[in-house]
Amino acid sequence: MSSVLSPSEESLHLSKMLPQIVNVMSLGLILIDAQRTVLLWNNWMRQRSSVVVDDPIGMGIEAVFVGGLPNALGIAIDNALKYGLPSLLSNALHGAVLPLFDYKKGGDQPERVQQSIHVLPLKGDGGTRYCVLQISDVSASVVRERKLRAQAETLKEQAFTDGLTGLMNRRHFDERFPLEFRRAKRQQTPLSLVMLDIDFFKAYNDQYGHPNADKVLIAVAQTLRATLDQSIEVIARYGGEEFIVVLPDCNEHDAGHIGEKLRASIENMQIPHATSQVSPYVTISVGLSSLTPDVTSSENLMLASVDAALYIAKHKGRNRVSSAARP
Amino acid sequence: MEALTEIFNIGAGRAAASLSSVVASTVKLSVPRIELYDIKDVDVDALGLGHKRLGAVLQSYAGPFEAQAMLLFPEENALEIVRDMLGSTLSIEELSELEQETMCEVGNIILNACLSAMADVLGVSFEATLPSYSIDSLGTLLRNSIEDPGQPLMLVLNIDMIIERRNTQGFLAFLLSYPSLDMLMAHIDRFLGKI
Repeated sequence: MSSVLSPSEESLHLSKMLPQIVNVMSLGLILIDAQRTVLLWNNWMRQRSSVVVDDPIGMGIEAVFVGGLPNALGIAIDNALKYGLPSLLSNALHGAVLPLFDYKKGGDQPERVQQSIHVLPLKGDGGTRYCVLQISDVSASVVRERKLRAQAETLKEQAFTDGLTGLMNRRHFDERFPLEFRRAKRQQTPLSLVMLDIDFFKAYNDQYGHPNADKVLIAVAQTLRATLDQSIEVIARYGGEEFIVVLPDCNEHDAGHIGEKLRASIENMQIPHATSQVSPYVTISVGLSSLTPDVTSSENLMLASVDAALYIAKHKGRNRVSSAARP
Repeated sequence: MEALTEIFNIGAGRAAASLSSVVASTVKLSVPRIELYDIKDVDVDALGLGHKRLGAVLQSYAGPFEAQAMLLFPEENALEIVRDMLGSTLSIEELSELEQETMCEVGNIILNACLSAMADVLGVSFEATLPSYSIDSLGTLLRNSIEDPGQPLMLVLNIDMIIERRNTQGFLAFLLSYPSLDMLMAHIDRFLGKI
């Protein structure tokens, strides 16, 4: 017998193969006609679906699924049958929209399959319309994506956090401050900046060594966090021994109180500092700048003014709070 | 042109209704303006798109007239749409496979709604490919889409989209041949003749 098939034999052969192909595919295939009657329901579907009857062929698609036909899928089927337009139902917006379960996973409580669905119009003889639903299992991608996203979040957090103190780092501050500034400008609310610096920190470092200086930085950061209202989000390590705090909805008067509270809280830790020229303990100098941003104000001017205020506090003898002239 | 604007606004209304039900929040869509360009004269600056990278959902249609449809959003707007819908906080570079699929679905809903409105009003029917998503400059997108130099016309719809009070502007462009445009106009004339 010859192994070569004639064209007609080949097409006969192919038409016999097609049902097998449909059933070995690793995606769900449903064919419905213009009356929305199910004509084909492949093995993939049979193995996963929670349907009202074992063999849904001949039933209306609306009646097949436990819980009914999801609305979005109904619209997509309409578009295919009425207008010949294809649609897709993305996983991100629809998730596990059909009651399909992976009975191999999850034991007693089988896992619901994450789906991505294509709704494709077909034309039969004489222009009759049919519609194929192609359902892919994207559970693996969803899991992978969740993992990647969690990793991205962790990396982002690490990139924006000061490793020593756990506060925001300079980069994070540079990103957040303009947002707070613009919000204050939009809402016409006051905004205050507090910049502070540990007095004679270089001398402390020389006297007590690096590891102890690091401990001071950690202690100062902890005290700042504990002293400030928990709702204040932006507390950052700005430079070596410099810290910066953004106080939203806070005017000059209130900022003055907070500045003084911070200064006192650091002094009250009573960390010995033998080489400080202003106190037996570790102290800080604090600069303040407050404004309600208008068209003439800018983030950079405000930063420059709080920096100048800190300089004045240092210049006037340290361990004190100074306010800037209006930036 | 006025009749066409009317038809597309019917489509926009349908698209907004489907999108609202998909994202479970209020979506409003309107097509305030339609313009016709010769593709040679399409000035990226005139569209206000500059040389920005655009997110594009592409779909081809065949029927009484053939067209390549492109739904264009400046990349950052596309991202805002996906963010608003999914509540995700990722940056453009991180716009993942699944989010691109979402953008495809949004584009597909808008395109299908416009085409089905046209089908209803003009009594015509179409065949279409599934949507694909790509990110590029308008120039490159146009070059890639015009395999057929016989589609030298571009019908541009300005689209205003409001999701949860955030306003996003985009464009829906149809690349057409002269015969296709003539066919479209003939169908519209026939429709106008009937009313």
